[in-house]
Amino acid sequence: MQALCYQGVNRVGVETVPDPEILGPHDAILRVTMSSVCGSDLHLLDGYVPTMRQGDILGHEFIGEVVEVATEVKKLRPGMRVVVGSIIGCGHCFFCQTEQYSLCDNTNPKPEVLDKLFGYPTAGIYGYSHAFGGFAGSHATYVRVPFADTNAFEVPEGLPDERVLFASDALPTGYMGADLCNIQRGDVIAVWGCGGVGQMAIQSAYLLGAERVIAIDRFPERLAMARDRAGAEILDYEQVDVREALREMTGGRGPDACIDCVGMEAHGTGVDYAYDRVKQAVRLETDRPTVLRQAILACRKGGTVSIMGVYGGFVDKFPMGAAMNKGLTLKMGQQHGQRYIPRLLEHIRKGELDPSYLITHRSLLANGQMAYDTFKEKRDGCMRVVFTPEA
Amino acid sequence: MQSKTPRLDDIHGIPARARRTNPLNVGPSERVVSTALGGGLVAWGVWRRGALGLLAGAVGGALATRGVRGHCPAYAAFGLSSRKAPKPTHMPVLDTEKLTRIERTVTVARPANEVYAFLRDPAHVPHFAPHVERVEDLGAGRIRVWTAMNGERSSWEAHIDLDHEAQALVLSHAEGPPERLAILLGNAPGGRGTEIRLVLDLSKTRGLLLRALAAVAGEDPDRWARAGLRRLKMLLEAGEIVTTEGQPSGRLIPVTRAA
Repeated sequence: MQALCYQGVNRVGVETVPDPEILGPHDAILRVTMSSVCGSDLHLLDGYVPTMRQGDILGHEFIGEVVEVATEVKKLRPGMRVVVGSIIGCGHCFFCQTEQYSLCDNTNPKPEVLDKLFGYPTAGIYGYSHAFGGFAGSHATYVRVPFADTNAFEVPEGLPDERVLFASDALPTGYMGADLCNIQRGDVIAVWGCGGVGQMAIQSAYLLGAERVIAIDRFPERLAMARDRAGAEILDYEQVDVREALREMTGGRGPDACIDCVGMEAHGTGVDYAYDRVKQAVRLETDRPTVLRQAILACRKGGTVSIMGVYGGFVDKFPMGAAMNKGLTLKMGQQHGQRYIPRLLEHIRKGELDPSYLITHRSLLANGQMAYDTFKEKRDGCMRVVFTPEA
Repeated sequence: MQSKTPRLDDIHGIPARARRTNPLNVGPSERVVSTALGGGLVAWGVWRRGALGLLAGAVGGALATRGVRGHCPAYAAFGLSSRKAPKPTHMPVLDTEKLTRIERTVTVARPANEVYAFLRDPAHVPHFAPHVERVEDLGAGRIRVWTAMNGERSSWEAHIDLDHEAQALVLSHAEGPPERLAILLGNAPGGRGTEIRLVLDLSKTRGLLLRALAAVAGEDPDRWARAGLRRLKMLLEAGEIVTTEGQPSGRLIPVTRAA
């Protein structure tokens, strides 16, 4: 089959590789019908995650058709259209039983790296470096899905791939970001980052009862989408002082909750941004927490900061004093997709959510390099490039 | 909160604290008195000087040491103990002085009787124990374990002791140094399943040998213990050991030839 592989820092290419085979009794093999690029792929491609190996197949956000199931798979049958959560759960450990699937104990076959780095290893993720299990990704004709009954969800009839694809990752991630804010009547939510996850977080915050959502970014077309598609009020951080603007827009109270949908490679304007840029470039810190610092300072006293943007290692100049003295609640985590996907599919079916507008470009795997370059540089108004793998 | 996992000393009278070789045999109040008296004698000896001072210092030092460490060699020699803890019962002569102990614990979200039933069947062992190829049941509580490491095959015979009540399983070498492997089960608090504790006692020589091997090949008993428990947990909870061996990638496929 054809697969888009990591070939080196910011270099990808299509290679002909063997078709995946059933390896475990709970596996299923899918023919991938759509697979999306994701902002977190950029951290892998930029070389900030040292456990990528040349030849690893990328991609973790996908939808497809079941072509083969192993002996112990009960729910899925060949021919079913399914959307798959990007993080793999076993369905049986303490964490899966308590719906914290991304913390699964049993799906990372190479737990040593994260055991050292994080204290305990977390779940396996498709196409997301060997620290996260080294699973082959979905930018390919076929992909293997372990514990398929737990991780794959049948797509309700009549819904096209475009509308369901992001129920794999961007939508549950954004939804979880809003869910962690414990939104109350009258709450104003600020969302940093208007990429795929940010857009979904805005819509989810409204679904969960937010009064107003304020979105922060610098790309005009992304801000326009946040305003026109998701209904947010918008702030361009290159034009205004974000903290001042948020304070004024919220009657001097500050947003009740802040959602960081940016993560470790944040862009900023201040001196601290230049400082982080330099430290990260020479690997003195792994993550640039520009957005996180701003969110903590902007958040109202006693508010919640929900972190969905990905961080991988260490941050500097973390405003712990502000977080502590203001009594903030910090909540975070990789998405527990399996907890949210069923209710999100229901929202999509009822027409209450339609993430398909995130798809601004389509590509064949063969044009993978161009696809990632366009996505990374946000050329041509690019929000998400979606691959439709060729056979 | 104290874990309900039975400590190894509850069962076999050997202190479970890793690598502690001298069992506690001095009671807590006696330890305080002994330490205080010893310290006083040392101080007096320093002030007094001379032969008498030296003697007082030596006696005081010994008293203080036994107080601090909680182990009295004289008591040990006569089999005495002023500790209220259960008297160490006899364990088939295991000279702990010559042993290196490795302990690892994992919690599995399954009830203890299910875990115990799974572990009791020797045929299950090769599925999770690293390097174990086959376990042969010789009957009468004896088994032969066949292992393969770096292409080297070997086998050893062991006694199996099952303690149904405590749900513990002890494997001891039938020949060679008195080494053994114990698996102890206990209930995790709040119905969170079973704590499985693996205790490995290796002879000092073998311990050193394996550590040397660890330095060269990245293999050592502690790693095996952790990997074995992790795999056991996967099997019991998820019903399979998750793997990426054999999945596609854009790398060359190494040819493996049968030895």
